[in-house]
Amino acid sequence: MERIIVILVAAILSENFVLSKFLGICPFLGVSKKLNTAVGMSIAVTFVMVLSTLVTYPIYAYLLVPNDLAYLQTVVFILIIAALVQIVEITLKKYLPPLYNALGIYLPLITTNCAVLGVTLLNFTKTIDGQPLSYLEAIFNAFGAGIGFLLAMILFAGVRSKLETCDIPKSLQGLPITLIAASLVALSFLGFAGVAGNLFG
Amino acid sequence: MNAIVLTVIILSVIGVLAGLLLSVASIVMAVKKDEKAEKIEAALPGANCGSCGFSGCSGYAAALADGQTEDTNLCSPGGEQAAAAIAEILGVTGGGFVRKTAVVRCRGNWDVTDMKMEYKGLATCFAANQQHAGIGACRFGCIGFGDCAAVCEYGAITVENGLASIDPDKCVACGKCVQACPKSIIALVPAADEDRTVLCRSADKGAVTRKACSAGCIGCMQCVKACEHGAVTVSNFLASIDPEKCVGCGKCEAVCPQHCIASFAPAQVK
Repeated sequence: MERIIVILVAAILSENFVLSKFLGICPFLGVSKKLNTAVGMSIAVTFVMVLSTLVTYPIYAYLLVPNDLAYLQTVVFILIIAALVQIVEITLKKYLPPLYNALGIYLPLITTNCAVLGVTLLNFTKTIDGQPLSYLEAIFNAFGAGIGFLLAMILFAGVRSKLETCDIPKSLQGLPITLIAASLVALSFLGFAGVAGNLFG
Repeated sequence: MNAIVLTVIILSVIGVLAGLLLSVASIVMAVKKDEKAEKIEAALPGANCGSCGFSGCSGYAAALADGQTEDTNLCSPGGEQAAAAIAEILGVTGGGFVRKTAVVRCRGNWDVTDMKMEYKGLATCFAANQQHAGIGACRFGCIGFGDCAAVCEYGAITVENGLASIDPDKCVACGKCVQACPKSIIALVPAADEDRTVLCRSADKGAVTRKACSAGCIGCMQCVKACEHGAVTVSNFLASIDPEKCVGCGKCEAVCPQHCIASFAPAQVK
């Protein structure tokens, strides 16, 4: 239980995928203009992260490692994630049209999102107290990473809506000021460094 | 050697499995799209402007195909062509399409009216309108920061000398500017040579209007007297013309002392 809480806090705050690992910057800058699209995208990302961890973890542990093929993980994971996202899209379209209408446009965007690939890969390098993550812990790690993504997107959507009403110098208008704002938000997340590791003494 | 073979086998098996799964899924879980709706969507211009009152072109197409609406002439950007195409697909005789254009019902540029303040705030009409109802002397007139020009996707709106103007040739009557204008001075009017429109929204008394702007409607009633068809009425010191009754004789335009009645027609329709 303690380990799971530590994993969640680390994934959401101190090791936030967007703001401290700098993965998934493309949707972070591209879809954060409006709050509702930012939330939709983040929920879709969380969903895919958990799902792809569910599938990739057993494949890595029971297929690649026993055959000494761990180095193939990147290629295999990309293949699996891409296929998985497509199947999820088709399934949602058929059985859950409202959810499809809400997430539909974001799902194809996530196929090759590096944050999703990053979660599935980092599940195997991350250790808590020197021990690698178990299957269940990896799933919580993926969930936490998705919630961290959601948090970063919501915070940044708020910052950007403030930027809209600011009188910005012409040379900084558009992407430059967005990048500067993103760097400041990322800087603020440095304050969480070390929080997760020292939660329980 | 063995490792290479195993690698190739594992990757190909996963790839083939994923491919099979996807193709099976796409057949088993195929969602039937309404053929009619698809055809109608293809006939629409795809501007997704929302002027038909539905959520984009696909929404309008679905509504038509499901019979939620029977109006085939709601698409402004598509015009006559789209209306006719939709009517043919549905097998009905659609209502006639009246081409419309957006018109800025104000003539108050900085030559005929003055600013009432020196404004240093946010340069949008919306913001300026929140403070003292705009920066011009007339509280009904065009503010001139071009909120309408910013939302126009067709580049039809230009702001010159503090007054927005709309090029009827480029305007497709999507109605985005109508919503964007905080003063509600933009309206969609029939784009025919004959139809006259009053280019002022001032509901102030004549003397107040004249003091603020030398091009505003002062409610002098001359147009009402000149009109032989009862199309012109004056209420709140402001003339308005009923497009249903207007025959386009142009007598009101001729007698207006403030020259604030005019007609709008795109060049190609003339």
